[in-house]
This record gives sequence, structure tokens and C-alpha cells, in this order.
Amino acid sequence: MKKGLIFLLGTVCSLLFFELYLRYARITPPILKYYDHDFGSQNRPYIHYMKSREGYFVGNTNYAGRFRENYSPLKDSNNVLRILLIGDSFVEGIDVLSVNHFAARLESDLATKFRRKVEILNFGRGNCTLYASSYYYINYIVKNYDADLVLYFTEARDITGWNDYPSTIFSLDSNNNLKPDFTWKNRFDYKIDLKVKSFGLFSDYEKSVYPSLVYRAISGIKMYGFLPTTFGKFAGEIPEQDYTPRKSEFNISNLSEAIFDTLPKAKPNTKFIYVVRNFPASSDQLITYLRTRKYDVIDLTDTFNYFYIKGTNTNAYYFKATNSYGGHWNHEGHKAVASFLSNRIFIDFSNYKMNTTSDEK
Amino acid sequence: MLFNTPLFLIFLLFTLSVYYFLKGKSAKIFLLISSYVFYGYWDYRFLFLLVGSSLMDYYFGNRIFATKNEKNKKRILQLSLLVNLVILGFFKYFNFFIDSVSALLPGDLDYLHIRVILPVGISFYTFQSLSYTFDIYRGKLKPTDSVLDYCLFVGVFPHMVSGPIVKAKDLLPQLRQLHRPLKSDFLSGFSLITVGMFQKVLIGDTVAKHVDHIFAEPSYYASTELLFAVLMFSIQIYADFSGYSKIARGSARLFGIELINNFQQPYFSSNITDFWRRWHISLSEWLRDYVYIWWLGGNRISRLRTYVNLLLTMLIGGIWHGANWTFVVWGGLHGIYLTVHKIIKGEASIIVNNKVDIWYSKIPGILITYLFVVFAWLFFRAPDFSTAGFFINRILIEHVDSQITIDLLEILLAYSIVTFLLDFLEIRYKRQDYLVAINKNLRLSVFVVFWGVMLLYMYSVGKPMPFIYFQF
Repeated sequence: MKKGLIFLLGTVCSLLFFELYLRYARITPPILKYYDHDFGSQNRPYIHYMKSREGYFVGNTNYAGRFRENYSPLKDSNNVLRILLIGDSFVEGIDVLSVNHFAARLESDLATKFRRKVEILNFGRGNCTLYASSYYYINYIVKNYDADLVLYFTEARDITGWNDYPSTIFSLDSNNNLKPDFTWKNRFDYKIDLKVKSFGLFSDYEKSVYPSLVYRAISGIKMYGFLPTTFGKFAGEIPEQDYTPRKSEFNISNLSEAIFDTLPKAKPNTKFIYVVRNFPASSDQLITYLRTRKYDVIDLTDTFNYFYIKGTNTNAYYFKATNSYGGHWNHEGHKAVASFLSNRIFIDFSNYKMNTTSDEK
Repeated sequence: MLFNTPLFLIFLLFTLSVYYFLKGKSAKIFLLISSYVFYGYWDYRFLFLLVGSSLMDYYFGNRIFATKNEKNKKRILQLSLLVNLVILGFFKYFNFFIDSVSALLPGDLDYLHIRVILPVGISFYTFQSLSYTFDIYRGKLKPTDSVLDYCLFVGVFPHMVSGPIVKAKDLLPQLRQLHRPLKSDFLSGFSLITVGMFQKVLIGDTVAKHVDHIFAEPSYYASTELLFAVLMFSIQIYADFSGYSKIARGSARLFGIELINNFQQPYFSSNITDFWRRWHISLSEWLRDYVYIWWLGGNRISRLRTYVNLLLTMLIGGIWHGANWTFVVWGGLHGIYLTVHKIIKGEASIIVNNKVDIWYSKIPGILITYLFVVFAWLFFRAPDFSTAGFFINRILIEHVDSQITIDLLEILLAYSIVTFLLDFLEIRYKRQDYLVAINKNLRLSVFVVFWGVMLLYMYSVGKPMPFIYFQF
């Protein structure tokens, strides 16, 4: 009995020690994602985080679960130019510190050019494609945030219907109108999550580092393989991915078309621009498609002239690739994006009348 | 094969299981073969160098001992030294030498560069081999008559790659009479491996993620972020190397072999001389015995010569670490620190006679020593002088504000507390395998939780990080 108690006490103390150490040293932050019953997978707010897979980021998520400081929903003055950024991990920019992110540079560049305060609200989120982000954009961001300009980052993968994000997305009804699709609620992990939380003791289980540790180990094994990791020598090799077939597969679905058409109209009196992020294949076709449909488009592929060659990524704007989709923008990449966007927005916005604040509306 | 991989654990378990049932020569042969498999896993070609080097020094040792004429004895020793240094120089310093000459002379000497991989652990086993011939020459050791024992002395897997640099007089007698490990050896060895793994994987490797990124592109980081990187490196290198040494000691103990303790809470040193008695003890002792005292004359000639000898010894220690002038500066800084401390200590002993030995009286000394050590670490870690200069300038002169100071403080504090705690436990229990000393059931719970967390972490990162000292 006494032996068992000592063992139990030792186990609890050891678990507590690792819980505190792994959390505060940012070795294993708690699981970032949680299920919102309306929007599906979201980032949890106020998580201390450190990421260093490609670059280096230390910081926290804000109340909206984004890796930046808190944003006020409303503009505090008409004189403020407010820009919303929607996009994936490139926009999220979690592998660079906030100060080096293109949003920070853009904010200060534009403030100097326009001689007024500029606020950039970054809603970028890793893996969040057009499919995964559009429902959230229309039903949360549009309704809650003032903006003068929306920069919606998109890329060629968006047209293929690529989405592995368990969030509420749009699908088409019989009249080809967009309707919410909650099929993510059938996911096994969501059901398990609900079940675990139904036990009082585990209602906040995801706040502990241990589920995150298990999740990361499973992800690590999926990414690197069990045997390569065990035998050391061959771990970390990322399989080459051939993007050339994508180009011939450019075929926009009715759903993509409906989303592309709906997003710019979602927030009236707000300028909306699609920013086509560079991606090896099909970007030019996507740009042509969007321009044909008379949308404002910023073409970042011209800025980058990037070669997606795995392992020999010589382009100065990218971190070395750590996943099958290549590396993200590095510090120089963020500088280049900020500079390019700053010039383009300054030209477009020189004669643009600012939106009034929500209060005045 | 890296210690911090699941493969090493499998290797260790397998080797130990077989070894336990073997006796005498067959146990030695098995241990040697296992050690060569361990080493050859990096690159089998390195094995030729290791075996060749071992056989050569075994031969030189016997020749020195057999030669009665002092002059001839000295010639053989010089030949042995020359051959060892030529091999080390060729693999480790040739390109560095070309670069240094190229910087002084007009014209490009890049075409003289050789494409060669630095064999893992070459500096360690070369120094270890040299200690054998040196001690035979000095009459402090009789050569072993067993080539098997000698090959094991150089190549037994726990210590061959990054030390501890064990002297022949300490290890050869143990290898001569290898005994089946006792139950207490298992427990003690496993405890050392557990603590060492924690230091290496969950402190050293995780700190490296901060340090490596900031040192790679310092211009993107603010003053406090750079200072954070330097302080974190002081934690990283200690955790990494001390962790390695513990795993090495623990693994050796599982086979009934006792290796020297390489670290003794070095950041608790109250002065720089004390620091070198606690940091990389096996290298410090090697340099002290063979370079400072035997070769340069130590403090037996004059006071000035003593200071010059100290400086020279530390410069050699610096260049031993790596083929880069930054290591020379690191060694030079420590040489200056030691010299200045010796001068101050000499003056102080004349003025102050009463020795104060209350623990808190040492705190200012500990802090000052740590700061000086950290300053030197900057040169050790920086890839070049311009990077080191950039750090110094941005930290001390050009102030750039950081938005993440609080986060960094929190991280630094978490690592510092845990590093301190591990050292404190060593002091408290007066041993590195302190887990042995705690309640059996408590210990079991620590092992279960620790190894669970460790394996999950290992699989989550996928690719293990090599030990810093492997490059030396």
C-alpha cells in the first residue's frame, strides 16, 4: 500500500514537473487547435508558443487565436487605414517574429506613405486554404471587424479543392448557392474530443502538454516514419513532389467559382483584392482566371520568380523546405512582400475614400 | 550512432544482453566489435583510421618502453607525436591552415582545399592515444601486452567519440580485468543515462532551437534577443556536453567500466581557476599534465613564464576545439582570465589571510565568473568575428527594442531553474547518479514518466541533434 502510494505520488510529481517545464520552456506548447461548434477547428486563444521548424517564432496567440497582438474589432478613427489579411501559413508567418513579418513592415511603410495610422489585422492561419477560410471570413471576420481593404491570399491549390482542415466550409445546394457544410462534425477526433470533455476531470484536457506531446509524436512518426526515426540515419528526408501535373489539371470547380465570386461582395464598401501567392504551377492560370472575372488581383509570382526545387532551395526569399510544399517566406521574403504590397496599395489607395468607423455607420 | 536516438537504446540493450553472458577474452572481443559497429555506423571508412591509429600507438608504446637509450626513446616519442599530429592536422586543420595563409598572401589558394570529412571524435582519441605514449615515455606506465586491451582503451564505445579523455593508467587496468557488471552498476548506469538523456535531449537540444536560429541571422533580432541567445548557449553547451558525458559514464558503468567525471557543476565556480577544475575536467587535466606542466614547465621557471605558459596552454585548448580563429580567441580569453586571476590571487593572499567560507560569500564570485565565461562563449559559438562583433555592438551599444522580452525571460528562467535543480541534486547527494539514492518506488515512477516523455519527444522531432562536441 505504502509502496503504491509512493509510486503514485512520484508519478504525479514527475508528470507535474514535466508539465511545467515543457510548457514554460515552450518545448511542447499545449495543443493549438480546438473545435469551435460553429466554425470547426480553430486556434486556441492566449497560447504561449514557440516555433522553429524553418525560422524562429516566439510569442502568443491573441484572443482570435492568431499569432499576433490583439486587434480591436472597430477602427478608432476615420483617419486610420485598416487592412485585413486572410490566408494560410505564409500570411500567418509563424516562422518569423512579429517585428519581421511583412504585416509589420507594411504597416510602417504605408503609415509613412499615407501619413496616417495604418492597422493591419492578420487572420492568416496555417493550412487554411480558400475552402477552409471562406466560411469563417464571411460569418465571423466580415461581421466583426472594420476594414478599408481586404487582402485575400490565394494560390493554385485552392482551385483543386484541396482542404484537409476540419472546419466548416461551403458546399453547393441544388441551386448552386453556397451553404454551410458541417461534415467535420462526423470526424472521429471531434467525437472523441467531445467524449473526453464530457468527463469532468478531463474537461480541459487539451490545456495540458501531454495530449500535445502524443499528438506531435504521432505527427512526427507520420512525417518521418517510425523506422527512419528509430534508426536515425534516414530521418528528415522530405520526399520530392512533382508539381508539373498540377498545371495541366487546372480545372476550376463550380464551388471554387462560387466562393471566388462571393468573397469580394461579402463586405460592402470595402476594397477587396485577391493576392495570388506564388506557387509553382497554375498560378498564372489562376491569375488569368481571376482577372477575366474582373477581380482586383495582386500577382506575387512576379516578385518572387521562385524555383521550387526541394533541398536545393537557392531562392533567397525562402526558408529551407521542411515539408512537401517547400519552405515559407524568410525574413528577406517578408521584406520583399511588404515592399511590393506597399507600393501597390499606395498606388491603388491614393484616391480611395476611407470607410467610416462602425460607430458612425 | 548518436546516444540520443532510439537506435542507441536498442544497441545498448542488445550489446549488454550478449555481453552479460560472456567472459574474459570473448567479452572483450565482443565489446570491441560492438564499439566498432557503433563508430562505423557514421561512416565505415572512419574505422580504418581508428584501427590504424590504435595499432600504431600500441606499437610506438612498446618501442618506447623497450628502448633503453634516452635519445632514441625521445626520437620514437617525437615520431609518434608527429604522426598523430599530422593525421589530426590533415583531417582537422589543413583547410583552416590554407584559409589562414590565403588571408595573409595575395592570390587565391582555394584550389588547395581538400574535400575530406572530419572523422568523428578524432581529437578525443588522438589525445587519448598520446597520453599512453607520453606516460610510457615518462616512466609512469608500462605498456599493455594485449593489443585487444589497447584497442578497447582507444575505441570502447561509450567514450571514444567525445570523451571523457581517459588516461591509460586509469582505464587499461579496468580493461585488463573486465568484470561482469554488478546489480548496482546497472542501476547506477541507468540513472546516469536517464539524467544525461534529460540534459541532452530535453535541455540541450531544445535550447539549440533558439540559439541556432538567432546566431544564424542575428541582424533580424533585437538586443535582448541576442543577449538571450548568448545566455541560452551557455545552458546549451553545458547540457549538451554534460549530458553526453553522463550517458557515456552511465553506458560504461553498465559494462563494469568506470570513467572519469567530466563536469562538476561548473557554473557554481567562484573563480575562473575553479571553473577549469569543474568544466571538461578530463581535457583540463590532460592539458595541465602534458602541456602546461610537462611540456611548458608549469610554474617552475618564473612568474612571467607561468603566465605565458597558462596563456599558451589555453590557446592550445582553444584550437583543439575547432579549426577556427574564434576558438583561438575563446582559448586566449580563458588564458587571460586565468592569468589575471592568478595575479589577483597572488596579491590577495599577501593582503588577506583569513579565508571566508560561507556559501553566500561566494555568490558575487560565481556571478562574475559566469559573466566572463558567457562572454567567452560568444566567441566559441559565433561562426566568425563579424558575428561576434555584431552581437557585442547590438547588446552593449546599439540598443534595439524587443517585443518578446517577457516571453524570453520566461523561457530563460524555465531552463535556468531546471539546470540549477540538476546541479543542486548533484551537490545535495554528492553523486551524479543521485536517482540511486532515492526511494525505490519513487525512482521507478521517475523512470517511467521520464522515459515516456523522452520517447514521445524523440519521435515528435524525428531527427536527433548531434552533440556539439562531435565536431571537435
